[in-house]
Amino acid sequence: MSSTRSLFVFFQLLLLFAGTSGILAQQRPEKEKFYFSLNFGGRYINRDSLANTEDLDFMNYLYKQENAAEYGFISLNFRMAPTQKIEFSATAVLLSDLSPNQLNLDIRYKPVIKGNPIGWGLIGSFFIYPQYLENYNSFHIVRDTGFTADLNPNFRQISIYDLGIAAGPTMNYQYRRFFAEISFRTGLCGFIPFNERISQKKTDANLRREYDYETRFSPAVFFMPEAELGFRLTSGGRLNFGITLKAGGMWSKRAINYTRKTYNWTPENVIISDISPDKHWYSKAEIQGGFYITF
Amino acid sequence: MRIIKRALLILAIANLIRIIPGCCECDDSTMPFNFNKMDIINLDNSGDWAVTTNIDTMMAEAVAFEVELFDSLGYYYAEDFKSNLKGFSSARAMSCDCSFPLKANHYLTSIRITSLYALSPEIDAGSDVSDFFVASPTNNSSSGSLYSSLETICNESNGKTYYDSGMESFGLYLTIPVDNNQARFVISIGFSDNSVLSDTTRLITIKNK
Repeated sequence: MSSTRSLFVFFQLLLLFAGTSGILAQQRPEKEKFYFSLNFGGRYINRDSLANTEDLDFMNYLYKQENAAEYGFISLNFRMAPTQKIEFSATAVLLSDLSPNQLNLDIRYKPVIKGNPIGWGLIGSFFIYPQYLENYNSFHIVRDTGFTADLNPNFRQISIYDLGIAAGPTMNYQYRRFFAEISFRTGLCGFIPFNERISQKKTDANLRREYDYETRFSPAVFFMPEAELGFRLTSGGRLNFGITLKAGGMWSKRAINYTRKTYNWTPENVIISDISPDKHWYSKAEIQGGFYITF
Repeated sequence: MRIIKRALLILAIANLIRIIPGCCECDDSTMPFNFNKMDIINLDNSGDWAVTTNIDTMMAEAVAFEVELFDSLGYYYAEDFKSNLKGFSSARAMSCDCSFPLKANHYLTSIRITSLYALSPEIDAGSDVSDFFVASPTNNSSSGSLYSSLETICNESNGKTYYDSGMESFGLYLTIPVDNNQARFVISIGFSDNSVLSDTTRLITIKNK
């Protein structure tokens, strides 16, 4: 996971540097626009909690809180519009560990209709964001009586990453100090595969066994609407400063499929099973607000 | 002139850096020893991890022993070691605190276990029960929590270098429950020089739940 996180940091730095060097290198400031925003927000994750079957269902163990946002975050968004029709956007998101381990990349195409405050366009997106998967050993603790169900005494919590691509139409509105954009994207997402191991020992007996879980990328179709509002507070020269509010959601029906290797006594004595748990309804909702500058 | 002075300074620093670690050099020599003594210790494997014990009572499904093979002259015995290093590196005051690993003159080729008592109605006294045992190297966390086969233990001893002490030790774990009140085994270890070491476990009283 640390190598994945390092990769994100590298890409984010690369993008930020590329953006900065782009600002400096451009010789046509009258045609380019840059946008930077700092937002604070909350993310709510909802997923079905299905009844236990004989196989572990990792979706049941995605981090979930009651009556509160699962994650608070700080979002840094940088946009560059080299022409009036095209806009590139990169967003780095910091969760409670203040590590920039989420990345969103967007490209917008917005045909200009002169004199009309309402426009439309297309948006293409790539995103990757983390979430906690925790306490999944409780499945074995409940099921495997007569065993020390997990020889690892530490609390089980890992970060898993949801990766997706999406595209869809946008509609935007601009009137004096106010601007708004609504987008409706659909695409494919899936959790990046991860491995977990549960080691067990039978009580008062020699028997030891291990479960090795190797998840597979299990793509799911999702729908992701999003709305953004902005209000310009002041402006001076090319510099504008304002406030922004953004809200969005994501809905999909998805599962985490995996291959399970069950070892009894020795590594040679293995049973391999391909498991496809039932799909869960999964949703993500985010609301965030903050400040922006354009130049 | 100034450039020459700078070049000489850089060379002097580089040489100084080279000289300091250059005084410390270990060679790859190993000290030979023999496996000619054997101990068998009871293991209490009723908990999560096996621990050695002096108690001669074991659970029916948790019969386990630790076997230790070492040189009769002691765990740490080694022939008089003579360093092959030359020059400053051989000077005691200048040498590193090198460890001298040990290497056995022979390796394990077989582990044979015979039960002196019937293990069940199907397994009579005097039967070869090696196939009902698995093993686990002692002090080796790299193998995970699973056991190894007896063949794996033998194979891994071939060419093995012993860094901590001249002792091969491993646990032996019975994979079937003992359907008897008592159990005792003869454990015979075969070596690559055709020698065999044998020992008998203590008489184990089997405790059922």
